[in-house]
Amino acid sequence: MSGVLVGKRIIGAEAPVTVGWENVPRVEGGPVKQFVFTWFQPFMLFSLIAFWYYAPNDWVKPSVGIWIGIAFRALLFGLEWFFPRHQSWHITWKELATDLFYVGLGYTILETVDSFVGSDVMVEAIRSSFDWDKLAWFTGLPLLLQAFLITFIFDFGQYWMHRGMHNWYPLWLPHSVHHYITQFNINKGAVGNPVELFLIGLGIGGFFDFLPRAFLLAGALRLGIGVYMHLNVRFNTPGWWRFLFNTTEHHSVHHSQDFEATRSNFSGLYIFIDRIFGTCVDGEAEVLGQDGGRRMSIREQMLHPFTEGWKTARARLGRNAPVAAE
Amino acid sequence: MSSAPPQAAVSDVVAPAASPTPSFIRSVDWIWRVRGQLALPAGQSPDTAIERLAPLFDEPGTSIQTSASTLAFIKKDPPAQDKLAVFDAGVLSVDDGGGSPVLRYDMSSRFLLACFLAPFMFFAFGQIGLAAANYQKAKAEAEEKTAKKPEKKKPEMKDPVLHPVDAFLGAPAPKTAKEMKAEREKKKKEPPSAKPAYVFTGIFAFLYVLGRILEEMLARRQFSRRLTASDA
Repeated sequence: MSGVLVGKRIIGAEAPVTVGWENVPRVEGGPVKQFVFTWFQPFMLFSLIAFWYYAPNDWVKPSVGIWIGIAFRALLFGLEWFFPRHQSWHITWKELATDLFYVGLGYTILETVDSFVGSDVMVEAIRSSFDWDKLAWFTGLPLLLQAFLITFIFDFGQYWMHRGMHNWYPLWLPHSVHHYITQFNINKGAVGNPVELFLIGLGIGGFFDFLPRAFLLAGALRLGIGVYMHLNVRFNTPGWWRFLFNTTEHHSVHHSQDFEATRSNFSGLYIFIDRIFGTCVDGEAEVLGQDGGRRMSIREQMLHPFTEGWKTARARLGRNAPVAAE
Repeated sequence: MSSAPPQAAVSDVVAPAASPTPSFIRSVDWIWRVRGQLALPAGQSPDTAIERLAPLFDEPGTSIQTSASTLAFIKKDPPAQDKLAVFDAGVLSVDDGGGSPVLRYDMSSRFLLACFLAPFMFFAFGQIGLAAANYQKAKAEAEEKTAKKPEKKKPEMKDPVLHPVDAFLGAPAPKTAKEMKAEREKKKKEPPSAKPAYVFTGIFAFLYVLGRILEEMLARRQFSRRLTASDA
């Protein structure tokens, strides 16, 4: 495999990666199917934005947002079932149960842990002594700008956190588990070691929940853009969307078995952050995972950061240990 | 077949340890074991049947041991698209007795067992969450009672103002600071809930029943297709 030169890096030398939009296949089928799969993403995004922008105050609460999120994911799950992007990513009962196990962890025990030691505690501590007038400049901005800024600040932080995970071994250890997924499905974003799930759960969302409408609009942006990252459906995504937003294609490159390709497309929502910092690779990959695509069991996913960390520490300490004098 | 575990491990599946399985385990092992039988097509010999089934186990992480009438397998980290990925080990044997040969299968799955236990785990998470929330609530109330009145009054939030652009586009007026404060106070008074944990308890109970039926049905269909395929 020779790979393709992207900037100063060779992408796809170790494992198959398609580079360049002109080489990415399009949705096949009649004009109706083409139309639906071209405009689905923008339509859903603008519908979500319009809903939260105009919804009466009584509807503007997190529980409504949660139900919309569940309904939208259920719709996309149906699309995955009937229109899979790759047959090799088709959902199976075992994959579904594994993914939902991690979704469940996020809603239950990790939530409990977060309430004691996570960002909720820090945010509450700061908020309780905060002078609200200092935020008046922000709350006075147009709603959509507020929502964009909330998501952008969060995504900018996530970009560097994610890039750090790929460049600093102690952070790579918990994150590596997520890179052992061998296919994309709607809930695969939830799969990972709980240590990482806790780390990425550290957010700034709590700061903004006093701005219900702007906060929920930000949630709509996160859902309407970010939900496709791990989805097994092909869309004829418009060019402007691919330029601005992260897509399944971008994220599949990030999850490919090619080492250089995994060190690209770090942002969660806004791929233009990657473009600014020179880490964006436009393309897609079907063959995903680590160690040649070995699928990890849940047990190994739970233990991997600790067992690998222990092995590495022992190897380093062993190598540096002084040799006993004879 | 790659990453083959030691051959002795497959042998253990064919001829398990001599000590008998306790009757209690036998009565509940339907949770993680799938047993059944399929009639072989007329005139098919046991070794032909085993020969036809063997390619089904030609998957990474799978080891098999075959004889004229038996196929034993073990799987370690099977790929997601392996059609029998749910099962860790099993024996397929052709019983030629009685003039109508049948394929008997006996396969076990730790994943099915884990899925059976998952509802109990999520229920426990719910109870832990409730206990934690009650503890935090009690602690906060106790602190509120004993806390001295602050000398400086906490800064109050002013009513949010709708930007002229939003007003022009017809966005509803935002809630007043008083309304938001009332909502926050109401939320504080709500009793802790373990609803998400109970929802996942239900989801996994359903998933177990679905998987226990579906995976057996799919495995049986695979065996049947292999045995009857004309070009196999």
